[in-house]
Amino acid sequence: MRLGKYTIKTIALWAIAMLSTGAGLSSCKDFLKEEMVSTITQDYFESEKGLDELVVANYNILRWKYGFMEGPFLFETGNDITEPLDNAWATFSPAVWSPSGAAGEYANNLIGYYQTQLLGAYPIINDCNKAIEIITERAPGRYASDAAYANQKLSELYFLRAYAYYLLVTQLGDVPFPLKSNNSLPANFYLPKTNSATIYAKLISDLRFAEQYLPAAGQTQRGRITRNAALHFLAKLYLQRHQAAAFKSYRNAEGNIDPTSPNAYQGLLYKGEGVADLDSAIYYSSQVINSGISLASDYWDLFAIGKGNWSNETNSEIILQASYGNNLENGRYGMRTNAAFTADYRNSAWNIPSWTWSYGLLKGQGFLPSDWGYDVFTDKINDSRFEKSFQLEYQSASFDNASQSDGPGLDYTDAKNASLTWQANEADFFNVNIKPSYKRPSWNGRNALAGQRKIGTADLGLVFLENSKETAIDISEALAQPYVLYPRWIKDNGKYYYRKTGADRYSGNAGLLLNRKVRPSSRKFIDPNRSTVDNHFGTRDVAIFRLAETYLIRAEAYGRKGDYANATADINKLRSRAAYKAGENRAEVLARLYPGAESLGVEERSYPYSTASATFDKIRVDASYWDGNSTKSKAEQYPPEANTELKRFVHFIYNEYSREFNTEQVLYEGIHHAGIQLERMLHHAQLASSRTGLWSRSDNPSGVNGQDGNGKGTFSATHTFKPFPQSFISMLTDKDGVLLDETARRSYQNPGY
Amino acid sequence: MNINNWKRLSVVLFASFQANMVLAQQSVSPIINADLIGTLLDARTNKPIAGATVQLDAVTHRVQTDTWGRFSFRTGQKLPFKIIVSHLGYRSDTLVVQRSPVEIKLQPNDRQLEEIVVVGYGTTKKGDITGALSQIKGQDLNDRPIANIVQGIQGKASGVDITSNNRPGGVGTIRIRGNRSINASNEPLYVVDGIPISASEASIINPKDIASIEILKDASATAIYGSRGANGVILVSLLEGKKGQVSVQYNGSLSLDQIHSMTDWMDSKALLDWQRQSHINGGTYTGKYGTAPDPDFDIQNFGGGETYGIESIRKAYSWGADGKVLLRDATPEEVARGYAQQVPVYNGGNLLNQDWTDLVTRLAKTNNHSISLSSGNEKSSLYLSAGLLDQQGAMIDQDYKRYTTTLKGDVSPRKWLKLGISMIGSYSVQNYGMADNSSNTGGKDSYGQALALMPYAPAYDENGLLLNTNRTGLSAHNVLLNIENSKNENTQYSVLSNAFAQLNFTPWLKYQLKFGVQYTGTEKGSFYGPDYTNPFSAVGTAPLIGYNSHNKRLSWVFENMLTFEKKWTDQSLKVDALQSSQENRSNGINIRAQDITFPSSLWYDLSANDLGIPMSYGTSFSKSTLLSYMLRANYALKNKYLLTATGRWDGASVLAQGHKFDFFPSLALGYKLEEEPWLKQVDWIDQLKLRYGVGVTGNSSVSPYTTSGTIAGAAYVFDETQYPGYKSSSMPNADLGWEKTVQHNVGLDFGFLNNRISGSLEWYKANTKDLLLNRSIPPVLGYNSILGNIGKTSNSGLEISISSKNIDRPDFSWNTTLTWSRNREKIVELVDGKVDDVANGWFIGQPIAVFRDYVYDRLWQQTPEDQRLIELYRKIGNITALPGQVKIKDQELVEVQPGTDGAKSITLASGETVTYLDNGFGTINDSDKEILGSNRPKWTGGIVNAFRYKNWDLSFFVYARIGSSYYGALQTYGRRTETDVWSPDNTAAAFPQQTTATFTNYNAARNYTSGSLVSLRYISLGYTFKQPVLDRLNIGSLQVYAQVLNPVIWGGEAVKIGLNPDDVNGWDSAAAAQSGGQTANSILLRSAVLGLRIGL
Repeated sequence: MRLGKYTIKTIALWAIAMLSTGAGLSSCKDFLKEEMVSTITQDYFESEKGLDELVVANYNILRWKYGFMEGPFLFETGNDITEPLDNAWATFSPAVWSPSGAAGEYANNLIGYYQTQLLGAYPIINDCNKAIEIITERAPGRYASDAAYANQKLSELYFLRAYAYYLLVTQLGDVPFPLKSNNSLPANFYLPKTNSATIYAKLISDLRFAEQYLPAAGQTQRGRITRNAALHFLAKLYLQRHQAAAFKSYRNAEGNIDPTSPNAYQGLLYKGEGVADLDSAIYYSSQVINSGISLASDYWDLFAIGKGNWSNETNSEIILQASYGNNLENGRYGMRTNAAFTADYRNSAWNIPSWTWSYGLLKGQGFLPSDWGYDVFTDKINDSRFEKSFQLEYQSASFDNASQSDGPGLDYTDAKNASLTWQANEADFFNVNIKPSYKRPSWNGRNALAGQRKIGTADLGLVFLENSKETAIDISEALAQPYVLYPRWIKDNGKYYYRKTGADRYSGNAGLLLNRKVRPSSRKFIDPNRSTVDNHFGTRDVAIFRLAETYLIRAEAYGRKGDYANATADINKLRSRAAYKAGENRAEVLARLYPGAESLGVEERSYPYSTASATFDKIRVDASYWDGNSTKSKAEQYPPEANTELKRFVHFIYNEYSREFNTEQVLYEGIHHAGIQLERMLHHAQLASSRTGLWSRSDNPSGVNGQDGNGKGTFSATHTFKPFPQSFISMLTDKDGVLLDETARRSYQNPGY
Repeated sequence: MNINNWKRLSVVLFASFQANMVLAQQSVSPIINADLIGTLLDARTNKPIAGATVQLDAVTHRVQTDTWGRFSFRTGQKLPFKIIVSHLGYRSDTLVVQRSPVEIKLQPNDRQLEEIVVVGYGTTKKGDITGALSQIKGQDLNDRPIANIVQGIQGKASGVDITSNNRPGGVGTIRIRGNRSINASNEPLYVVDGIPISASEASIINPKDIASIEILKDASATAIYGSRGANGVILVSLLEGKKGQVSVQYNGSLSLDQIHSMTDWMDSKALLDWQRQSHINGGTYTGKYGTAPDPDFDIQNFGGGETYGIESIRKAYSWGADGKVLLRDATPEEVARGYAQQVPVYNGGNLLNQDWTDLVTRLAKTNNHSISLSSGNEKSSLYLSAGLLDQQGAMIDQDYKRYTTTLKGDVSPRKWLKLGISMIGSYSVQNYGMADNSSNTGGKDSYGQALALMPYAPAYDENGLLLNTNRTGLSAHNVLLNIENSKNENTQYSVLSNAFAQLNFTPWLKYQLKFGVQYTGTEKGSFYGPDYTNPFSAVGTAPLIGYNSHNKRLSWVFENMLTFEKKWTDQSLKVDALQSSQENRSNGINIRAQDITFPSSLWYDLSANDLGIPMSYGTSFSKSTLLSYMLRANYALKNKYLLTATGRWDGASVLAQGHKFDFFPSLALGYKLEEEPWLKQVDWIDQLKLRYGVGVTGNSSVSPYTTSGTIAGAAYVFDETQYPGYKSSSMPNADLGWEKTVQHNVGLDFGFLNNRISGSLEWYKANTKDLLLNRSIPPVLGYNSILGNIGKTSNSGLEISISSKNIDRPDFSWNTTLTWSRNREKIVELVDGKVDDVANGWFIGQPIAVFRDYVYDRLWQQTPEDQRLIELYRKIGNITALPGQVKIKDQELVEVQPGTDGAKSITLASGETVTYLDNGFGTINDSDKEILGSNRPKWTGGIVNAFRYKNWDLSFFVYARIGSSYYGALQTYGRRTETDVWSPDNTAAAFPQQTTATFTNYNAARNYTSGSLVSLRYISLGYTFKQPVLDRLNIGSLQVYAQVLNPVIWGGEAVKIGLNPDDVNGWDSAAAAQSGGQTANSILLRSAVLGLRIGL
């Protein structure tokens, strides 16, 4: 092959080659340019629309407690009325309660470990700071032209940021307190903690700004922050600041605590003092109370929800709520906690073989009341909140997969009915002692027949009796009920048994450290509109602030000023609503079997168990409730530390919180900030407490797992705050970027961890 | 095909015309201007040699042998002729031919150095390689039926670690020389005939179409791929038509696969006894007859609260006519054991033993058929093939079908021009099996879910129909019901097309233009029927939910390459210059709908749903581009000193502005000692080549759009209306650049004793810096991590591959091929230098994924010493320990005198006061955790032994993966037959006692164990039919073989307790493995294979 021969061809070939190469070269710069198509950058927030949407995103902090399991684990563990079903959590096992244990992990999630999934306070604080900076420094569009609009949005952001910090301070005490946004990697991770006095002062001043510019209730979209929300929040913060004022001496001159001091936790509670914090609390709570909103007339109206019906969400008592839409597009898990507080009520022994829409779902690690959670209702017969808070009775029910709807329970003659069969002695007892006055229509006056199924369509299937050892039900009576009865205490020939399982005629044990998924559970958050019957993507709103709490805040403030008259007036607002109204029906088991039911009239104890007259007088509160001597006062079971009238009054307030806000993730905040968490836990929460002999001893103690009268846990002052997560602390540096040494880490960590 | 066969073909072709002449042709006599015809055979195997050159001495006239080894000349001379016969891989021979036709036998040349191997952007002679690479030839790859190329490579190449994936259609993971990247990808680059494809699509290639696979391992070999070569490169060369041949090949095999459980599971009787004993041990047994079985207790605790389960338990008892359980007197021995005087009549043997795993498995058939045609002449060549893989899963809900066609051809219409195209079309349908379980616990597939069911839970009702208990009781998640009510189909269609034009300007300068394009579409469809029980309650897999997604990926690469190649007397130079642009673009769409109206419509009519709206939908898009320039020079001096230098500039769109481009150089030197005169005299040394290479490669395998601060949707609801909200999602990083690896490689290639023993030795060290690392940052900053160039890792290792011909006789041969490699992977630096990242589980000096946990010490005993220690733990750390349970390692108890500095005192119930050093004893916290090991093996190796006796072939392959840790010794505890559990009589037990008692449970620490395994991968026996037989059958060549795959596995404790540590797919990160991902891996998939190879 000789070159010359190919000259023309070669030139042509070269030309083609260069052209094709050139095609690749000419667009070199453009070729590697990354165009955002499905992704947008943060520059978007500098526009009016982007800023609006950034504000909207920050509202997700309001869902933090309910969007996943962090809320219950942080706010329902460590209060005396609810227990995690996980024993290690409930007993405050060191395997869980350590900076690298699950408690540390949940604290990490509060801080913002799952930033990408919106779970966490600091990512939202950072976005709030960003939005506040954009509004105040370089406002776009309407934010520049419409001052009222800008101030309203600013107020919403101040509120949301304050709420995020409030969650942090409640769980961790002093925390880092950035008020500027962070948009690039800093040179060091020097993140010192700020004294909570400084934090509270700033939150209060932000909220006082906000309350001036926020719209009144009903004047904005439901779900938006209103003036009432800011006022209520202010009252709460002022009261909390006062509650811890007495702990000033446990902080040193620099405002720090000595982590080795046994009172370190009280020092951490101290949040500074204002000139007249109690008066401020009364002033702001009164503004809410006088703003024109009112309590729900029936306690249950706050929670009643049906398939396709969310009417409870518009109740005027609600001041602030975590909003969830009626479809299923509600963040990562929807309203997740609807499946956190339910009992495992499935068993064909009582003719409810599967989950149903209307009775709800238990999914994953759950939370059920402690015994004290029931017994704090000192008058279960006359305070309707007991029946309205807990699912005391389950009617037989079924679920139809094909139509995806709840169905009635099987008829007792149905061959597939697998409920318990009557045994001869039970049938005899029933026919003689119970049947004559048993007027339930579904029962239709039938005789019990040995060998026949007990529970038919619309009959009661599973029923709970929360009695005491003194009021234990006799085993023969318990067995003869026309349903499966789970009493807390039964007696048999002079022996007293604690929480035997009813499904096996009281041969197995439950409760305390043993399987305890079957007991009365909260019915407040059951969501028949969740995604599927065995899934938890819920749709219901949750009230964060409601007027009942405003009343209790004001009542406590009055009481702390010695004004018990005004305090009882506010408390009785709730009591009046809590009482049964004349004509209102009670639960069957309340009227028939609960201790105290014998005081009811014969008509009241017969179907439909209608209340003859309003019960408010029976539960009306007066100062004798905390005098330390009266029956009423003793029934409140104040801890021994409550040795003054004021202390008993404060405990009474939180007993009332316990009755009013069960499973609403509110009580924890109250007893924690009031500084009475430790004594209440040790006195009331048997699984958490290390005290012995405080509880009634049973004849079925199951080694040390059952009711032997002793506490099962290791709760201590340490556990009133969460540990800073190990992984977080080990990243921290000093100003020079040098990692904290062991001493510095220890002094950063909360006391006892 | 051999010459005899060609004769037969001639007969077929010509017989109809001139039957007599055919016979006459067989005895041509020497004449002038004679035709010389003949055949060329391998002297050792007597098989025809195709493509060899036959040349008349002193004349330029040359011909090539065809498929049947046949050649023919028309000469201008008369016999005898002097001819020269040469062929790659054979010793050239010069001989005098006396007559025609002639049969010539050529001795194989064991000097394989002349063989051609594929390197990046070109080929080179094996003897001239300067980098580290492994070659696997097509026939070695296909020595057993394999579904994809990854499976074929396992154990065949040193430095390549591959784990298995048994799901039909699944591809194992492949790691070349360890992991370098922590967050960026560690997947190697696949290049098929010069066109890069994504690793996930490696399964589209029919392994039967592969001529060879070259695995480039060191930087001097991979630097030519610049930014994409950091994780090694797998070059796949497809078969092509050979000059002067037409051949048809058929390969077929039938495999029978069956799951072999490596674990002995407890039957119903044993399991109930175990569970009851657990209650007795824990003090929670409340039976009414002492410790004797009590029907009420059993039903309440094990019956599941549902009729079928309860009835099943009742079967173990005898019942009287009055419905009461029958009682009997207990024996004195039983009473001594805690039985009451009167106990129920109980016989666990009457319990149902539902073999759930048996119900979900089958003897699965896999058909693998492939037919190919290849043809070639001086001007063109063509290769066509079609393949079918029809694979049933050993689980009844899994299968995979793949159809492939391959076309490869080239034409040289002029001497200066060559054009070619190759195309692979592939279509596959995978029935994935039951819903993917993305949670950390629970069965990963139908087999795992079957294992979760109790043997006393029935699968069928009394009428023999599938039992549906409406998600209640023991049979709540009847796996058969779920299989029947779920369908998960993955469809993939892919076209890979690659065209080139090569222009030869001069003999020393050529230009090549290449354009390759790959289009892949994947479709996923899933539907769950009304009775699906949704065992993991995933929101997308509830009953009556249909899902459909379509994803498309289009990628193209466009290359211009100019090659200069010139040889002088004792030096040669080759320079390649390349410009290349690549683009990957993918987009997708998906819809999910619930309450599908007509279950029969599956996911094909999602709008027919009762709600009238989809449940969710979305579209996606991503695009990334890469622009590269490359220059490479190969220089050889005196055929002794070799040098390769490359430089590549790469720009990647995914990186930050100003950091997109970078330069990746490499240099390699080779020194062929065997060419030195002083070594040439040593006649047993055939090759001794020393190599050194160093180079830089890059990695930019991060998702697009990660460098600019992104935002993410965070909507909120006002007035029940969803309002759009957006939040900051990732912290901007304007400095994100390339992750770079500098790798040194020293290699020695050797061949001794006439190449009876040959192989290579490699040592390497690869240092990776500027890791693309998602570092944790304190969330107080508003973000929890940021992707940056932080930290360093290193990998160093040793690789040995040796082949030896132990025996080499005409009738009997024995060859051994051995590969062995070890790799030490470690993190050298992280954030702020020497700081461990505990949150992510990264530790300096350790492999990237390690197990860090409490350390198993021993089991607690009932001795007074232990009772005292237990009380101390209770008092100091609130830790409840029980005899028979796991004690983990803690600081030693150091008792000191009261008043000693740092001492604490505590008083026991006995009144004794213990004063101890507060050294951490008594509390269990993070500081008690230690690094326990890694799931990376210490070394891996494979050895193939192949024997040939006359027409018989026997080979077997042993694969070893040694020194890895495995988490899971307690995964099957409680269900497997485990006799070595603690009891007061067996205090030296290996495993803790089962108990329902509540205590501070550290038993999980007992899960860590040795994952070493040695596996006999296959034994294969083949028979090649003798030519006379084939002639009678009118077939060219015929080989039949039978194989057994995976007959045996040996190993450490993991294997001994019935686990197979090999398949860790999806759970290869230590964190995930720790969460219990490997529960289902108690099986070994065994197969029997029958196969047939026919050549026409």
